[in-house]
Amino acid sequence: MRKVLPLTVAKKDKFREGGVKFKRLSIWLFCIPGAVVTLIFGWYPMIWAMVIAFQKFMIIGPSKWIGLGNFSSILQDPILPIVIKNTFYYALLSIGLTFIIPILVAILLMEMSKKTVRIMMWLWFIPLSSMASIVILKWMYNVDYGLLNGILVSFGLPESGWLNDPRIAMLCLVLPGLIMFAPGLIYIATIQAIPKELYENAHLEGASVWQQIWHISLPRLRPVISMMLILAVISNLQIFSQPYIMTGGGPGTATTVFVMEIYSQAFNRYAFGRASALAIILFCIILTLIIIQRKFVKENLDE
Amino acid sequence: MIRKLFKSVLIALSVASFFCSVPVIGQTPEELLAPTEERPILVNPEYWISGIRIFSYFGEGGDVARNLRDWIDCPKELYRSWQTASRNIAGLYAASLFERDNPKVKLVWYEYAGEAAGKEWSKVLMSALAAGEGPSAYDANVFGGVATAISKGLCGDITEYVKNWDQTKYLDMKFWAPAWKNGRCYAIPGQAMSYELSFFRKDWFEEAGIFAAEGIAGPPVDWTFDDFVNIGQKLTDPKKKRWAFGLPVDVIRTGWLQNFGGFMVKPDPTGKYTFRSGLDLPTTKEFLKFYRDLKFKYNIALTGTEETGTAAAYDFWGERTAMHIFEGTRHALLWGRIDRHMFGDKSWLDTVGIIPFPKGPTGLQIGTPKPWWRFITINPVISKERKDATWKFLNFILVGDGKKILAQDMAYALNDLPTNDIAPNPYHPRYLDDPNFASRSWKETIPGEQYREIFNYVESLPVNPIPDFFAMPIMEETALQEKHRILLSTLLTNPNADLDAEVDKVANMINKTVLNYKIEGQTWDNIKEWATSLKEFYEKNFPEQAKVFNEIYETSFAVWPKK
Repeated sequence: MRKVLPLTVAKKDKFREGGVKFKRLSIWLFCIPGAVVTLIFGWYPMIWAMVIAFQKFMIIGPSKWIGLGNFSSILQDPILPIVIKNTFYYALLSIGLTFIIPILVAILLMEMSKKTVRIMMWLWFIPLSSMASIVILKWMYNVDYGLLNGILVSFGLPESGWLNDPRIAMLCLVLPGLIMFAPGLIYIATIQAIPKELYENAHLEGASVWQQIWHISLPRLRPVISMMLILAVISNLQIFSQPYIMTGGGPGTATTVFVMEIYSQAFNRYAFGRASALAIILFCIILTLIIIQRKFVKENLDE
Repeated sequence: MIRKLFKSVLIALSVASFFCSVPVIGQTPEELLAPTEERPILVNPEYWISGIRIFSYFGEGGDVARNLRDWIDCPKELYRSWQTASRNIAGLYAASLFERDNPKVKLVWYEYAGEAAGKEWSKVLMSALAAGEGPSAYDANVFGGVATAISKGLCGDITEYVKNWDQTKYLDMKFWAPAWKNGRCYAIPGQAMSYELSFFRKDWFEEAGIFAAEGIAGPPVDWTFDDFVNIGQKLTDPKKKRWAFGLPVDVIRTGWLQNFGGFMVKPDPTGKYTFRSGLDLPTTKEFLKFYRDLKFKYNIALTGTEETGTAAAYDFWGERTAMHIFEGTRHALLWGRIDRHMFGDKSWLDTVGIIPFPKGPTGLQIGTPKPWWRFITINPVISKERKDATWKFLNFILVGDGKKILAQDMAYALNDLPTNDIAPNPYHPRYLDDPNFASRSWKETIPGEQYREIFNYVESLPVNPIPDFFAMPIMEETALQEKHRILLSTLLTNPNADLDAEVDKVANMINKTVLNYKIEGQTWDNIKEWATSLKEFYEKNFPEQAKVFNEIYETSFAVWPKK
């Protein structure tokens, strides 16, 4: 016997079918602007850079294919090993100081009162205007009339060379990153989302604070840490604004980093082909590091 | 109730503003551009000279303007430069006159809120050119030097225009050479004859008891670098946050270098390249050692990796340093108005004096170290009609009626006769040949005995027979400067750095990259010609320097094959 559905149910399904279609359409409609922007400002320049890297690029008029000419010219440039070394040095310093410390601070903060957490979050949000902080810090570091040497002198301590000392110039560039606590805020948000019952049960069963951190907080932070590590590697290897504004790459070449050399090739020498070739080398370095990182850092809580 | 009232007012205002804008919104571009009673000029967009960039060099010295602390506060309309031409009556009048006589042409002003020669402007210009929307004429030097711009295809070929140009006889080929390639001309000079001088704080000199003559605070005009150091030590007092000088690490001061007998480049003895770095020449090294001693031996310079040319200027205006290098153009209006400027809340003339660079170790003191810079070029991709119109406009504004309008206008601003030399360019404006056009020298506009004396003194100094880089183009000037920054920022921040080793390292870097080329058409003969002319110049004017140079000449400059 043929089963006849009540009229209301059939109507509902029809309505639901239309709704699903509309939902799909609306998803696509919402995605299109983002996709178009990504294509125009993300993929198109990247593909175009890959083309230019093999050309003697002319701003006006036809460009000439020169094969690996740009790459060979870069490899002969004495500045290349210097910028690679400096970039990795900066990235290691920066990840060491500004990546690990916020994780620890975020975890420890959760042991404090809600009021303290709120105040600390406020304090860390304020200096998020990185450009302003960089410019201010540049003058604070000034050897002759900067605030930091003024403080040292007032305590009877010897003055420091800060940005003028090639041994610590890179460290001085990294330090502002410590007060840019954006990753810390993300960790705090993640930890706040961990169910309180887990800590309560652990506490009842006699787990110490460190055991709670090690067995509850850190495993649940792992996916976020993994993602933040990728972002940190990408952003630190592409550092530009701090050395460009604060030291201009000096003293000597002590703080000349990879992207500064790309910028210099493109906008000081108008060698867009060489600049693109350099950018491709950097892209390959970052990609390799991310592949390695994805292979060795586990994100899944159960693994 | 109040909220409702506020909302109603907002809505009413929005509606009103919409209806007010309707007449404009309703018009097509053609209607907007059509001749009107106020603007009876037919506009044909095909012939637009879109964006004749209005740089200071068309008018008067932006350089001095930038160095005058309070110039921004001055009424802008008094600066009759093309930089502000679209905002002043003289500029607009000149433009409308040109448009009237050339009815198919429409001048469109490109305004760029930033330094005309700055890096940002070069990017804006480059993007516009790449998009085919670039202005018709622009400053080729923004691309790191005219030679760079030519090699990157950013300059139009203007050989046909300059071939029969009546102004070419005023243009010295050895200064013009960088704008030529393979016998074709790509640019004309836009600014010339600037003097590199120093500002100094008269009041601080007086306080320290340093007088050029009785009752005249300041250094003597024929001072030496030894005097500079002695004076600097008297002026420096770190406790008061006062130093003699802001020593930038991003630029080698060519005037100082020349007075030491140093060179940034030297000829390549192998003939494979045009130049090799001149950093390792003994006179250049002596100069670098002196630079360094200012910081670490004499402790009179404020410097550091963050001390750029701009920061050094701020140190002077910020009352931290007693002296500051600037380029003193022959800018009649600015010098003519200097008595009305203020230095902070003090009178400019009472506070700031000018002085030439000190003599080098052998008494070398050269006048006019920077003869020409900034070259105007025409967009290479515009139509022939637009090129013709652009060339016509450049003539109009550099030597024709446009220039006359600016001169008259400046005279009005100065409340005096027109000056015969309103802009520091090497041309001969046609109005000067008009016997009815009363004029006077730019120097007559300068108030203050001290200022006039200095300019007279600088003009009396022997002028180097060859320009920087020996009348041959440096293909990437900005990149060369960047490498020099590497050296300077090492030497001026690290007292333990080995000067010889650092010089060799950077010279090697420069040779491998920036100077890794040979200029087409370069022969041993032209190298011999400029090297010999320099030798003769020293022998005639500076015998002590000739002894030093002869050694360099034999070892590094006389590189051509011996017959």
